[in-house]
Amino acid sequence: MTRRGRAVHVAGRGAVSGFGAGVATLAARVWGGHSAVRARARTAAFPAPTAVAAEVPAGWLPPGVAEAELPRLLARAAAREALAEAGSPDPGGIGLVLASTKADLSGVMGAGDGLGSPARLAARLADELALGGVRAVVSTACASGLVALSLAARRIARGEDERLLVVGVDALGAFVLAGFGSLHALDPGPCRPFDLGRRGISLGEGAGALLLSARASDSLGVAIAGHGGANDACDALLPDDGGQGLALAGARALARAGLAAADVDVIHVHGTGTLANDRSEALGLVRLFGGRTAPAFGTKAQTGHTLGAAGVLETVLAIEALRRRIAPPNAGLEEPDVEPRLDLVRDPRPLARARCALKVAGGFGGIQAALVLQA
Amino acid sequence: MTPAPAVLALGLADERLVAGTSGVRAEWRALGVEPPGDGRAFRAIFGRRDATFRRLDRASRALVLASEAAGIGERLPRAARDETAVVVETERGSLDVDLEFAASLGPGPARGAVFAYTLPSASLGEVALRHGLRGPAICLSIGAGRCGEALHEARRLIEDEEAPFALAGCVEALGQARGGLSGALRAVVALIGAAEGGAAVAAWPAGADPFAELARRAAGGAT
Repeated sequence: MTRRGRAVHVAGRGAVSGFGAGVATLAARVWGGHSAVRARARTAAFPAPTAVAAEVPAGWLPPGVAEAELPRLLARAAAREALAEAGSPDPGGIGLVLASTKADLSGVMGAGDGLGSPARLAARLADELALGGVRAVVSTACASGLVALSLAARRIARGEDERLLVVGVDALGAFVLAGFGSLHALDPGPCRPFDLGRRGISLGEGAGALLLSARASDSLGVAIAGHGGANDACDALLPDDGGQGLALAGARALARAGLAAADVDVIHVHGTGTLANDRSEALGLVRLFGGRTAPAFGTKAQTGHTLGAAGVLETVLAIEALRRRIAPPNAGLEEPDVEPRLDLVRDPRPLARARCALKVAGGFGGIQAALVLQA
Repeated sequence: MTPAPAVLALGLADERLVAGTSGVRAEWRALGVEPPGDGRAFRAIFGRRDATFRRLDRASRALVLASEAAGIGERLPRAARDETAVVVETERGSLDVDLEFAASLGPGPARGAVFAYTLPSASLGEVALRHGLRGPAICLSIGAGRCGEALHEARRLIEDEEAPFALAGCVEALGQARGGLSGALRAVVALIGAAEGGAAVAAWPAGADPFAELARRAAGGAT
């Protein structure tokens, strides 16, 4: 099952995160070892067993903006940045693939008609950006972003679309904070993925955008070479103890790219900070690599877990690792507590070779996804 | 030449009945339970005890029932399950559960067991879990009049050799009309595979609601 069809080029990138707007800002802060996980401010009144979250800076938001407007504003800003980097191609020929878990919850929480429907948000965003191509909307838990990128790559490789804008987005609110709190999944303080002292996740919010194109002339020098999906099929919430689903997804993505695990130069992990997920992910990656892995880094200790946005936002950072030829350190990691053959980066590490990155993600329902990026 | 992806089996669960190519055709009322049933309904239809079914939300119950009515347990080769994909579409998503969870928020602890089903993809995970399906999993949020995307995404997965088989489904579960969405209960599951003898997915007319047609066929007991 090697790569077939047309190449899928990355043509533009956009991001809004707890660090503010822009890919440059996000990358500078992440590679600088900073964290946007801070004392909750805008969401401070919402009950949740944590003091922190990675909220989008108050200064970035329009004064008095309603919570229901946040997902659209975040998605629009990231999308516009990606389109601008690509030279603002004719939007009439661009399709939209949106990824989100809860989108706009108005009508569920307070008045409004968002109803937690990612499809409704996508319709508004596509209209606002005048995107005239196909519209597809993925809501596959915290793997939504990678599943959306895979769906878009599949359509472009098959020749069904020329350019697709993939946007992942989710915003913080009372619903999500209470929900993860009810699952006892939140770290009371800043999360520490893969660390001995990890106690759960820190939530974040934001949007990531990638414009994908069939045209080599659009390329920023990175392509999606392979994608793969799998399901643990072992529990509604918990991942497979042995990481088999993640290993399957990774193996399928590499096979589609015509590559082997030994070809991977850097991994951007899912790294949520929960006991079960980090252990399962570490075992899955070691299983995929058949031993010691490529250098691995995660960024949820810096951006928070941005749920439906995470897959796209973190793929932006995986691309950045290839472009910089440096893997950033895992923030918050003091004493690793997972399979030692997972090569967690402790200090900024120059990459001897920076041609191939693996990005993985997982979500409730046993869903696993992987993406192979090639420079 | 590999045959085109086709519908190999069908299952339906709606307000009126559970029916499909497994041979089951049962009306809820005749079973003495309210649609879509509780744990008792499932046991009444399939004749087995299944305590885990009771923890599921209505959408998951409907989708699982539809997959059972399609006879996935018997029709899908066990050796193929590690690679079988699940693609589900929904317009109403988890709105029913979202409203239930939102209504429970207050000074006390929130309900984790409910929150777990506040994702449109929850029912997809339950179907994969029940049948041990470890291929790619995709949940699509669709707008009005865009039915059938799951069927064609399943076709793409098979044509691209990402999966030898796929369960393509749609699920809508909403107790009362809300925000322009009508109340609904319907789940349809189609087993798609590259094999002779079924209705080719690619030939499905554009712009139609293929799951409505599949539901009609399932209720009639034919592929």
